[in-house]
Amino acid sequence: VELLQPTEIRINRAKIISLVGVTFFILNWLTGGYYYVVIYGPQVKPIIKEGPMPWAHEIVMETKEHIFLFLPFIAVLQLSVLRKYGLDLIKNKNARFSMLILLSTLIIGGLLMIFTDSIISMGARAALEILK
Amino acid sequence: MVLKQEKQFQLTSMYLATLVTILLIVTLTIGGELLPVLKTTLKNIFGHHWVGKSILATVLFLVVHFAFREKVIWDIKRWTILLAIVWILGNLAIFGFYVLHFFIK
Repeated sequence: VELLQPTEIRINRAKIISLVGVTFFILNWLTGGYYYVVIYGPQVKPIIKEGPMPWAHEIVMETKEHIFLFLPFIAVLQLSVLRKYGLDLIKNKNARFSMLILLSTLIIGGLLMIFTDSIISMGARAALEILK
Repeated sequence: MVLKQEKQFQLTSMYLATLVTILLIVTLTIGGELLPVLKTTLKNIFGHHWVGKSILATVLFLVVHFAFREKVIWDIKRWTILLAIVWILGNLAIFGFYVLHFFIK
């Protein structure tokens, strides 16, 4: 939103928000990766696979864990474009277009992560209901 | 308005690095399922195949970015469109593969 009609203040604010975004993507990578490898794999995955929605792991989780890996790199790229162009974004339509496309991929990617999380959680809950 | 050449070099190499990294992740993901030895090798070296993919992707991103810092130059809009297309196709390829894998195996 800040970059639809950029001004100096909006660009500076967007730089801070983007830096925070990249930091959280990397933290998400580390903490989510730890959870996936240490807890989800040994404890949750076998339960989902035994439940009524095995596809929640075999399709949704398998897809999610891999397409997530695209996002931190795109986030770093987006921050770099924003920092390199800076105030030039006000006049440069191509750079502004590029920023909006990169941000859209990050937003859609982030929403996909939330959506797939919900399906995987449903798969785990459905399996636990049966195992009770 | 044109950016200084040095900045354009850096951005172009970063676009290239991101693009190649996405392709590597797709290749390792689908290749690892089709060739179990690849997935096992990643697991043996890195402790988990996903950790292996994460580390290899990061290394490739850095290597390509620094290797091509002063080599390629292209219009940012074209790079962005290409990257968006590769990102969409990468998502669809991985999702489509796991759907097929689930129903065919």
